[in-house]
Amino acid sequence: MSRSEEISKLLKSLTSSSADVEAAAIVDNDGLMIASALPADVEDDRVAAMSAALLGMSDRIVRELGRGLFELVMIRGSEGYTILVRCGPEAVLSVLAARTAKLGLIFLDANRSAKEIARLIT
Amino acid sequence: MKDKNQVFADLKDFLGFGEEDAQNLKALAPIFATHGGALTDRFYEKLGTVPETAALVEGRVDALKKTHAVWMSELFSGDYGDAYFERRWKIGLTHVRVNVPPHYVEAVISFLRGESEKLLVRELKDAGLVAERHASLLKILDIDLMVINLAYAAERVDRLCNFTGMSKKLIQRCIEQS
Repeated sequence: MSRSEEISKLLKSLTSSSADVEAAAIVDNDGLMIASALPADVEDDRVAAMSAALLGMSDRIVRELGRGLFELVMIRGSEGYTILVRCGPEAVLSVLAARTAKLGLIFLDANRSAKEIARLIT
Repeated sequence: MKDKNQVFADLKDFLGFGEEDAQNLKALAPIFATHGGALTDRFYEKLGTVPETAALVEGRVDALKKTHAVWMSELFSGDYGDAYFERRWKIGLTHVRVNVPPHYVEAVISFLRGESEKLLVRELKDAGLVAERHASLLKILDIDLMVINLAYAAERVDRLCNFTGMSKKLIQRCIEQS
């Protein structure tokens, strides 16, 4: 199996692990999409750029405020969550979760996937 | 982005700035050594009449005039190599640091475009010579403006990258996606 196929398989596994995980994508630090399992009405390129931008800012804030190394950022909207988790030094995993999601489980799955993805792309 | 020195070379090439222009400008040095100070004074008087620019230069007019005079004298040095443009690049960086908006550089260049022609007509008298030397002056003023503006834009992006943690490629991508 190619690396690209392995990454896609991991994303698919993450999105199918729970009904609460609605979509996911992997983006590099420059905002380029590596792999995605996003809804059809979402513009991949825009989400990629926005995710990378948020990652950059979050990373800076964590350092500026002496919070160690960046791990994840979570945004809550009225319809659900967007969670960004670092996948090694060069990429970020973006996960969209339902409003009713059990966050502990989502974090666990997202972190586990991020580690695997980091291993594949580093 | 291309290497800075390559950008300088490309700009000179694009505007057809060559050795003849360098000689034309060098020949103008005595005129501007004599009358450049008056031009500088007039420009700063003009700045003083606009509240926004007056506030920007308040308390440091003499220092700014000296810097302006050095910049203007270098226009007629006859040497337009990498070191010349490196100094222009630094002007752009300094303007970001001291928060001078780019249109003030454009204003000074515009002022010099107009005033220099009047000065050359008065001093050189020969219309052909005025046209030839003023054309060289316009080229170097345009190149100066481009280099200063490029440096200004590059420094702002660098600072944005540094502050946000975003790479230049990402910022470019965000601009394209917006």
